Amino acid sequence: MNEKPLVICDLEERGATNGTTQIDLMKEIVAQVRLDSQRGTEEYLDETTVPHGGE
Amino acid sequence: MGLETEYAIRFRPREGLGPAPSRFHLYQAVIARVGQHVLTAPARHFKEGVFLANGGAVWFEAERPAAGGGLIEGATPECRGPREVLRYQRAQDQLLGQCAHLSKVDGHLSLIKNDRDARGHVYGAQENYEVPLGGSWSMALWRIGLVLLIPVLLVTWLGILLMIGGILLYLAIAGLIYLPLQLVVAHPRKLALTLFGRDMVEGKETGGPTPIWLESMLLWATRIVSAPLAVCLLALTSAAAFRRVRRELMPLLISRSIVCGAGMVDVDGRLALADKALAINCGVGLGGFLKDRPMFTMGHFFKTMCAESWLSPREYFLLFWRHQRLQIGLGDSNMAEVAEFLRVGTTALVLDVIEANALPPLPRLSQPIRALHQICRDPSLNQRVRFARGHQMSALEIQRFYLNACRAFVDRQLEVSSEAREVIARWEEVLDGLETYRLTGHAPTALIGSVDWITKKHLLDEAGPDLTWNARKKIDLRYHELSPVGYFQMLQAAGLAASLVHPSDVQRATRTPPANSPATMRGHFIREFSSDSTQLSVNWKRVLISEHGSTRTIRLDRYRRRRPTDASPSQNAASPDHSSCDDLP
Repeated sequence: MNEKPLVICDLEERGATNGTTQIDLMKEIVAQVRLDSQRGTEEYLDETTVPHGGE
Repeated sequence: MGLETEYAIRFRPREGLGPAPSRFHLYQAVIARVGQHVLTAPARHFKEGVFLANGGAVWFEAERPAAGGGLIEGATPECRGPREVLRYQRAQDQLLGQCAHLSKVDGHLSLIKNDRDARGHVYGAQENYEVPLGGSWSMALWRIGLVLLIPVLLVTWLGILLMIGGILLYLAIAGLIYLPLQLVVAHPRKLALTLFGRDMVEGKETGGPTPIWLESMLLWATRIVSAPLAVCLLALTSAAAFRRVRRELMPLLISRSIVCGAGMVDVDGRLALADKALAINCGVGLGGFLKDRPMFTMGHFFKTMCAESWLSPREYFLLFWRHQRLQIGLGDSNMAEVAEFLRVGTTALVLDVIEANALPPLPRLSQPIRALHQICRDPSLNQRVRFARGHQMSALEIQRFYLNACRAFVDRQLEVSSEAREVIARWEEVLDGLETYRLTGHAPTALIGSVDWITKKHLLDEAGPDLTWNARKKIDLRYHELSPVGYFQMLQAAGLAASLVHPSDVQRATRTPPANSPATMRGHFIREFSSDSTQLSVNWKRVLISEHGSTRTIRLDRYRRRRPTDASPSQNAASPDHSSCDDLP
């Protein structure tokens, strides 16, 4: 995994919602994603498996 | 034009309950819920499904249902432009996502709109466009080929009839074996399941029409019986079907992952630009029949010949028409609306340019599949791919070539829809953003929530480099979950993803068909006749109404080629809606 991390250059310029900036919202979602991605992970991968695939 | 999308079914049984029900059972639970939201009619087709009042359809897609396979497939109605496709695709995503969440099952059910699971099984999206199959020579070759294929088709049907006879004979023998054995074996139900399958044992459709072993045998037998037809058809389509379109469209398709790739965490934990592209192994194929996964799928011709012509021989003769369905198998299921709009909009516009013979010359790709994989494996966007005569271009350069060709074409037209101009403007905006990202490593905010692989990469990068492969893969998959805990839907709810369609338009599209399309008529009949006293069955080409002992057939193909205007091809690619309900019978 030697990819360069992606940087968002103008996130705050998108303004604010209810006093929360877009960058705050993004940070909040990233924190949730990070936490959730480490919980019940094996089960999630099993539950979403599609035996034999599709078209 | 229209989209087909296969949704993976995720089910978690409530704690303490036994094993998960079959995927067919889960599909039925979703369909029951769909029927409470919108009017539906049973599909008259060779696979299980229903048509909706908006003219679209929902299918149970499974090659091996008894062995546990199965996806829910949604198909948009036939649309006239990319905005309309996007609206109906969103309506379908919303309807199926909500109905899965609300369906009556003992556990949590949700759908995943992606193209590949954690074990590498591939499924996903296909695009359909109606385009001329070829010029005069290609059409002549195609029609001669279709005539020559008739004896092969008859032999195939004979083989299928023999298979059906063989199944009936097997059931008779199995019955004779079962009757005495059930009296002496310890587990007669287990014996019955082995001999007859779940459907027959339980006396209802369970998704297991045959035992698993028989299902495998029948699958192989079907392949063997229809192999001569498959091989002949593959040769014919390779030689005659959409040749110029395929050649001129291919560089666009292999490079468009940078715009509309969904992103995928591969087995090494690296992010590839697209989910399905790395599984593509040929240019033209029948779509799985010969273990192929092609860019251009010709499987619908095969299905028409083998199955639909069996039900109605007229279907075979419709294959002689010049305008046919071009099915593209290379493409991801998008969560981002901008990406989905551009996937369909740019392809439709380029098809118009090709149809008008207005695409500037571009050398042939030396190795298209290799080039596709090279582009997909390079999130830095620096990879250059080889064309004939030593040319090399990056994906961004290829996309700009097509963008410039489309812009020049649109500028030359006297009348152009605003939608065509919108496709060009958004396309350019995304390419400019990707160029900035390539040069600086900094992506403009506008790409977040607009380009799926960029959005997914941002989530993965921000979640941290220390995550395990499983955790990275969960982020990859849950990004596509159609529920409030799906990561893209979380971004959307926070206003971090651009929306191109108004929620009220999406709501309307769940119930109302698009105008001036076969779907208009289909939807009309479903709304008018889906009452208890009327037996209504529907497919893409016909509506059948059975009442008081007689059946009336309404053909939809006469509405197929009517266009809002013949002024210019670019208007066809991106045309505004025109009402056509005046001509309903």
